[in-house]
Formats: sequence, C-alpha cells, structure tokens
Amino acid sequence: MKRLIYISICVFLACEEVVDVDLPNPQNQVVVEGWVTDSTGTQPIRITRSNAFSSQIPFIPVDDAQVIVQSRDGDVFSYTYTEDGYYEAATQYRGISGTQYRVRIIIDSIEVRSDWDEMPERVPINELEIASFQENDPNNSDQQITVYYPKINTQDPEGQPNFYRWIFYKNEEVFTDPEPITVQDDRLFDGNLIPNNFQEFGYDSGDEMTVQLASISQRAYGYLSLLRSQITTLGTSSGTTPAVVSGNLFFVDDESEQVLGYFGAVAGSYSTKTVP
Amino acid sequence: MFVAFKSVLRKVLAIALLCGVITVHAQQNALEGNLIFWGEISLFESLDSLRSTGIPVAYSSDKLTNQNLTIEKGLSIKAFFDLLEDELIADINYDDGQVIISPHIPKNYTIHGVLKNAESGEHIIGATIQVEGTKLGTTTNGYGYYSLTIKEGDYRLKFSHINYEQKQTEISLYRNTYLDISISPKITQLDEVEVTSLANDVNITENIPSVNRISISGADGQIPYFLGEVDVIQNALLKPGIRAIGEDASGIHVRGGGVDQNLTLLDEATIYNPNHFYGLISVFNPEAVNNVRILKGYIPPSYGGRTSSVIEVRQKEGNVNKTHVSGGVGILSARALVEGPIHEGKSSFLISGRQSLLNLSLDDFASTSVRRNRIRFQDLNIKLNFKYSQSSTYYLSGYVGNDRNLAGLNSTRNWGNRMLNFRWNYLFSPRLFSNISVFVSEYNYRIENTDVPGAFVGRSKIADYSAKMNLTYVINPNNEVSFGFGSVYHRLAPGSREPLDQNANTNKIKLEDEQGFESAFHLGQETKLGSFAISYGLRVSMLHTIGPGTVFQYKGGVPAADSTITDTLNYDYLDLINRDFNLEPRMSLNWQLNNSTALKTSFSRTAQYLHLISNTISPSPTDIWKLSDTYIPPTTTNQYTLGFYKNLKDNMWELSAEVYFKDISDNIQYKNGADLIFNENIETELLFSEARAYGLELYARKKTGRLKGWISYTLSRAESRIPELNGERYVLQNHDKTHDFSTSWSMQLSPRWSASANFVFNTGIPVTLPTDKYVFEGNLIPHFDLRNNARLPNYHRLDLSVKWEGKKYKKDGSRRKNEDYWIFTIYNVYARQNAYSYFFRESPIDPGTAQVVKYSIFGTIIPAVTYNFRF
Repeated sequence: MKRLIYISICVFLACEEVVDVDLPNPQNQVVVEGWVTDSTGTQPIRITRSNAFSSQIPFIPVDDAQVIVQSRDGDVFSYTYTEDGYYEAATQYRGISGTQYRVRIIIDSIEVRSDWDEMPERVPINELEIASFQENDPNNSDQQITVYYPKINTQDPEGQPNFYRWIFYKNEEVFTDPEPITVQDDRLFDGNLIPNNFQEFGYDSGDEMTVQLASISQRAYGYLSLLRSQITTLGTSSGTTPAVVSGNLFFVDDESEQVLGYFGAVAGSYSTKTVP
Repeated sequence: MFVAFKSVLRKVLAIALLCGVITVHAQQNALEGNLIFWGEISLFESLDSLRSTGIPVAYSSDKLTNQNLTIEKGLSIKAFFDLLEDELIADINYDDGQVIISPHIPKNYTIHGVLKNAESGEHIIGATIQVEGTKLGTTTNGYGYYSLTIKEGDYRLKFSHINYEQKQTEISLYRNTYLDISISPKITQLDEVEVTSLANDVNITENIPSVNRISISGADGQIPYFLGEVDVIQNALLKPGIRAIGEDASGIHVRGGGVDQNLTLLDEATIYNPNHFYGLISVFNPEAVNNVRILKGYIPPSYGGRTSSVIEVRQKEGNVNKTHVSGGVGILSARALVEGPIHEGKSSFLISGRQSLLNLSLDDFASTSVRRNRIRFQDLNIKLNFKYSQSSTYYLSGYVGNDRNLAGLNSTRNWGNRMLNFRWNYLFSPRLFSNISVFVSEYNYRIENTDVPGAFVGRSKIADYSAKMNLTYVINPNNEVSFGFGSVYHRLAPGSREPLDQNANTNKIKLEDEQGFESAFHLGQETKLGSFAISYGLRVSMLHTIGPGTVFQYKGGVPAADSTITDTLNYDYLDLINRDFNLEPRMSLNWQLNNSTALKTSFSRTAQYLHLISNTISPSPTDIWKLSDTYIPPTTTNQYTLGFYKNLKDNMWELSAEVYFKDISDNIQYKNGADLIFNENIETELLFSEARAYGLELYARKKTGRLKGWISYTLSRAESRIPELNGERYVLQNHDKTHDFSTSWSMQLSPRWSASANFVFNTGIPVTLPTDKYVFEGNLIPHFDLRNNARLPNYHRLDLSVKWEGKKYKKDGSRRKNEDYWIFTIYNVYARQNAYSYFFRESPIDPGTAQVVKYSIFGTIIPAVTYNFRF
C-alpha cells in the first residue's frame, strides 16, 4: 500500500528533455586551473579558452603561453607545455604551508596574473569509518540493498578560521556525482571534532574508498562554493542567479576583461580503506 | 483672600444652578397638565389657547403653516408638542422658559446596523446598500457594519451582495435607527438552474481601482485546483497582475513586485510565509477561509509596511444560529470544521483543522531511496466572536500551521506560522465606528539533525506584537473620514545553532537578535461630489530599531566587506540604533460616468521596513527576515494606476481595463556568491536596485447565469537595475511574463452536475543562457555573460473539473439536512511538459558536449478527487 501511494504521487513528477536553443555568441575567455600542493610533483597548471556552449569541442587548449609560479619567499618555478593545455614545472617541487604563491602567464604577449594565495596548514583525518544504511533497490523494489558511505571525523584547529575541501575517490577515480565539489568551513565547529557523514557518496562492497581532505584558503573556498552553486543548483527553485564565477586571476593591463578559473595552494591529507 | 473669593464663587454658582433647576421643574410641571381642548382644531387656535393658559408659546404665523388638527381627549401638553414634532408639523424648542414653535425643517438621521447571513448569522463584508430612487448608498465595511446618514423620510433600502439574494426593506427614518438586516445566501435551486437575481456593481461604485475578490463559497470553490485542493492563492494566480514564477515556486508577485512585498493578512494578522508544500498550496485552509480581497493598486492609508499589495484573508466567523460540521477529504489532505453558537444569536465559535495525508515528495520518481525528501503539513484555525451589544462585538482569531520535512536520514525541518488576534469593534456612535486590534504573529523555522557526534538544533524566528486602532466617522453618505494609529514591535531572532544534547560537539552560535518598533499614523477621507468620488489620505510611517545591538562601521569609499570594518558600535538595551521615516500619500479618484461605467485613477506611495533575505530563484522556508537598519534603507514604491470599468446586462458582465506604472526604490539584491547563512554583517553581501514595472490588465467576468467565469489578460514588463552591476541598463526581472492569459469557467449542467475549466497561457519567464562552456577540474562549467538574455518556452495548461452533488431531496420530497458533493479534477489535461527551467549539463552519452535541458515539474496529467460534506 505504501508503495502504491508513492507511485500515485510520483507519476506526475519531474521530467527532463534535451532542447535546442539559440545561444549567444561565445567569448572564448582564458581559463586557468592549478593548485600548488604540499606533495612533491610537477604541480600542473592548465590553460584553456572557453568555447561556444553548443560546440562539440569542450574547450580550446592554449599551448603557447609562458608560465611561471612565484612564491612570496622569492622562489620561481618555470613551467613548460606538455599537452591538452597542461603545463608542468620543469623541476618537481612542493609548496610549503604558510607561504603565498601566484602564477604569471603571458598569453599573446599580454600578462595574466593571479593574486597571492597562501597555503594553509594541513589538517589530519582522524579516522575514516565506513558506515552503511539500507534502502530499496532502485532496480528491484522488493529487495533491499546496503549502501556504504564514508564517515570521517576531523579535529579542527582552534581559534582560526579553516576552510576545507573534500575529494572522494572510488577505485582511484574521482567521485563527482552527485556532488562535484564538496567544501566546508569551521564556523560551526571551530576547535571541535567535525563530524562528517557523506551519505551522498555511496560505495559497494569491495570498492576502494579514498578520501582527501584539502585545506584551502578563504578565497579558494569562496570560489569553489560559487562554482558549486553554479553547477548544481541552476534550474531548481533553490537555484542561485546565474553569474560569472570570478576567481583570483586577472589581466594585468586590462581589468575589464575576465579570466576564469583559480590558481591556489592546498595542503592535503589522505586516507584509504576497502569496503568490506 | 484668594481662598475666600473661591468659596464665594462656589456659593454663587450653587444658587444659580438651583434657580435653573427650579425653572425647569416649574416648566415641566406646567407641560404635564392636560390640554383644555380636543377634537378638531386649527394649529394656530391650539397654540393661542395654550398661550392663554399661561404656557409661554412663541411662534410666527408668517412662517408656520396653519392646518387642522385632530386632538384626542386627555392628552398632556407635552404629548401635544411631541405629536407636532412626530407628525412633522413643527419643530419644538424649549428655550429659556419659552416654548418656541418653528416650521419643521427636515433633518438628517443615521440608520446603521449589521448585515448578516440569514442562515449562519455571520457578518457580510462588502455588500452594497442603496437608497432607491437616489444616488445615495454605501457598502458594509470590513466587519459587516453599515451606516447611512440621510435626510428624514420614507425610503426603500436595497441590500445586495454577489453571493446573496437581494433584499429590499422599507424604512421610515425620522430618528436615528439601528437596523440589522439578514439576507440569504444564493443557492442553486434543484428545480431552477437559472439564477436570475441581479449582481451588484461594487466594481463600479467602489472608489478604488485594482481590487480582486475571491469567495470560495461560490464558483471559486469548484474550479479545478492542483490535486483538488481548493486554494485562494492558486485562484488569485488566475487574476490579472498576479503571478508566480512557476509551479513549485513559493510566493507571488503582484504587478512586478517582490514576493516579500505583499502584506498577507489572516484576520488582520501578518502571515510571513503563506506556503505549504514548497508553494504548491497556501496555508489558507479553504474550510476556514471566508473570502479574500487583493488590493493591487490603491492601498488605503490604514495599510502599510509592504509595498506591492495587500492580501486580506478573512476567516469565517462561525454560525451563531446552528451547529454545523463540514469537511472534506482529497488525495492531498483531509480537513474538517465545526462551528456553532456559544450563545444562540449572540456568539459563536469555529474550529477547523487540516492535515496532509501522505508523506509527500517532489523528488524523482525513480528515487525510492530513504534519502528522499518527504513533507507533511497541518493547519489549525479557530475563531470566536461575541456580540456583546448593538455597539460592541469581540472577536478572537487564531491560527497555527506547520510543515515538517524529513530531509535525508537524520535531518528534520519544521516551519510554520502562528497567529492570535483579539479584535474589538465598537460603535462610539451610529456614525463613529472603531476597530481595535491586538495581535501576536510569528513565523519560525527549526532544524534538528541527529547525526552524531555533530547533532544540532538550529532555530530562526520572527515575531510581531502589534496593537492598532482604526476609526471611521461617517459624516454623511457622501463623506467619510477615517483615522488611526498602530505600532508593531518586531522581534527577530535570525538564527541560532546549538548542540542537540551534551554528547554533541558542535559550537553554540547565535546571530544577534534585532528589534524594532514600526509605527504609523494615518488619516484619510472618502468623499463624493456628484459623479466624482475621491479617496485620499496620508500615512506617516516610521521604524525605530533599538538595542541591544551591534553596528559595524566600514571604511568609506570602498565596498563594505569584512576586511573594511573600522569600528564596532555597541548599543545597550532600548538604545535607539536607527530611525527611518516616510510620508506615504495615497489618492484615488472615481469618475462614475453612468450607472454602469466608471473611470478611476490612483496613486499610492508605500514604504517597507522589513525584507526577506533570499538570493535563490524562489524563497525557501529557511530564509530570514531583516529589518531596515543603518545600511539597509526602506524599500519605497510609487504606483500610478488608471482604469476603465464597464458593466453590461444589469451587471451580469463586469469588464475592466487598467494600466499601471510602478517604480520601486531600494530593492534588496545580492552580490554574486553572497553568503547569507549565519552571516553577522549581511550588509556586505547586499546591493540595492531600482526596479520598475508597468502593464496593461484586461479583465472580463460573467457573474450570473448558468455559465460563470472570467477572462484575464496581462501585458506587462518588470525590470530592474543595480547601478554597481548594470549601470543605466535595466535587466528583466526573473518573474517577468510579457503575456499572461488566464480564463476560468464554471457551468451548471444539471441540478446535480456542474463542470469547470481553467486555461492559462503565458510567455515563458526569463532565463540566462550561457555563451561559453569551459572545463574546470573535469567539470563542464557553463559561462554566463548577460543575465536573463532569453526566455523559457511559452507555458500553457488546461485543467478540468466536474462537481457532482449528492441528492438534495429525500424520497418524500423534503429537503435533506446534509449536503455533500464530489469534485473530480484533471490538472494539465493534455499533459504538456511545461518548462519550469533550463539547466545545463554535460551530455551523458557524448562527454565534453554540453546540453541545455528543459526541466518540467509536471509531465503528465494529474487526476484528483475530493469529497466534501456539510451537516
């Protein structure tokens, strides 16, 4: 009986249809994506241009830029182009917490620069637990299935604002559905154990569950939050207004033109477990 | 010396008073004697005769008309004088020991009383009272009272209201008279389907433009509603100038105004969130609601605090004659009402409840997950009224409503409105009416999350404590003055969050409470001059925000932000933090060209001191309200309206065409990515826009006959400009719909069957389409340039319903005491998948390719059935 009632309410619900609409002309904006991490590596940076929304090609790689990363301490790391818009440091390096970094890029003899972004202190993951709940099997509603999800407690450092980003991997692949970006701040938990139940990230028995906790700057947190709302809420009644997602990059000589994306510094902790 | 003088003065006064008393007594004694004449006698002879017996009669034979009188034997002199007055032969004045007889001059007298429903005893609002053969008339006020002051004489009064049978009463008005009139509700008779009675012409005669009325006891109660749930707000959306963004969007926009700019009143108390179930239905339980009046153009000076419209919802009063039970059950909810006399004919009670039946969900059909959102709601309405005397009636109204939402596994959200209102209608005199009301109104939101170890309870609340007094003085039928004052103490607790129990390890945080007094004085006059009627007035409104509180000071010349705070000012308990003040003139002119034609124009300036902070497309129950303060100016609106009104075929058809222009200043807007949750200095996230809205509204309504209904069309534009973002350029508002057409018809097919249909068509709302896409960390991101650069496809929908009434007569031919009926509804008959929105995603089949996806809330037809009864 209960199921019947659900169905009677649900039959009229939401439906989706792909439509063809006339779209405005593309602007082909410069997009920069890059994070200096606290693990030794080539710290790749990707430079692309946005493409027409209707185009079959998702983006246009920029392959002829000159790229350097500077630290406030005076270190300079030069980058060379690899492929698909990626640039990598000529020599491997790692970022240091408390130090500020920025990128300087010359594209078509015009300079794009990021603001300084300070790498926060790394915050450890106390323990990764695997929790579970039962629910109806979407394919066979007579059966129940068990969904496993990560449950992680972290100890927030006291007396300072902290900003976090969670990244989930299932069998070494980044988990982007249903939440492509998961960010958090400690306003409600400052100095406390932060409890996290990521029920949206369901794993099956046998999966390898890896979780990364990245400490990010306040500015990066703001950028990712806005990006997240622009990806996940548009089109719903709780949607925000569609808007340009501005990061921390700009043209040195022309502030009116936008650069999309973000260049920042993160410190990450990892934890891995296999779902029983 | 001074003391002695005072004592002498007192003695002199005492003696003087005593003499006066003696004189009066002497005169009265003389008047109590019997007449020395009787039978046929002329007036002059009789007066001379009195004078000869020592009664000091004074009259002028030039002015007074002599005539023959017939006097009974044994009449006292006083009774003789009274007779002269009663028969309108002469006016008698007792003055200074003399009896002055002067020719009768016709005087004005007041007839007043209450117009009632003959069956239930409930007061009838907005009925017309006309004096036949004259242009004089009035309407019953918001409490069912009427008062007419006219020259003495014999008249025939005509009482009419669209839902009642007309009644005519003859009156002899030679003294102030109190007269309660009862009229019977119109019922569709079994044997006569055609209802032939005349409809009233209140739309022509009332002074002000742009008023819509909804009365769900009539045809409004049987038109098709979503899931069969009779709903005044859904009905209002079929009227011109009133719209919502989409199906599951909370809140309505009236003539381009914001959702927080409607003053929604339930029995005069503010309702902050009039939505249940994410805006699909309103909180107004159809069982308990009597009628609704929506003021879109002219806002009378007695109303203020919101700048767009006034939505007055009135609860039924309760039957003072008989106890009744009514109710209904549909697929969405069940409801019941009990009403009856506490003291027959004098006082009554009403209690009504509504409860949703299912765990409702708007999630995906496919999701049978325990993580899906489920929602339940309930309402409880009460009303008591007590008619203490001809001049005093007391009312008590109450409402409690609640929505409960289970989100995910461990999170419960509750929100709802509460209201308690005590009202006292008092007649100081037949021509001076007062309404005194004291109310408490509250909206609160509570979230409880039991996830250990972070279990918490979050709360947010706004409460109003209000007292007001309005007075209306009827000088004569053509002239009425009203004035009043009132104050609301707003107390806002925007948010707190604390651990659920001692095991929980979240921090306790609380945003600072806000408090303020919003007060107003108003004065207005309604007056008629020939075929012109004018209503005008002034409202003086003010807001005083008071401590305790904190105000951040920001560095000048740069945008306010956390980083530009230079100082913090702390205010103690009851310290004045900020003061705002507005003069709100209102004016409306009605030029009645003839009995069935009128031209009206109005101007209203309104100010709003309370704002809903919400940067989502449609407001959410978690959104907080904010008082105007040092950084948030009051929103003000000027609205100009011009309308033409014409009734045809004895008011069977009501036609109107109206144009309006509105400019709205200091509308709250939000910076991109504004963080509004638990933000202590929310002013740093706000911007202010100038908005303007204009439009043409056409409306035609057929009020009588077997077929009833209306057609409504609105051509409009609503746009706004944020100087910091748009410069001089205006951008379309999210709720702008160029063309908006609605029509609704009900037809009596047979004594027991009737059918209704609604059809709506409107231009799709604006949408922002992306110019580009780019990839960030593997996510395909749409890039937007100009806001609202396109529109959704046109929206149209047809709904049908059929009403099947139970047998009204028993086998023996007598009328059944109980009534019942079924309503079968089909919503979205041709199953159109109307676009609610577009969203943008990466193609699941072809990665790297972006798609524009049309999202529809309802994709198929939605049938529903409700059963309703009354006994």
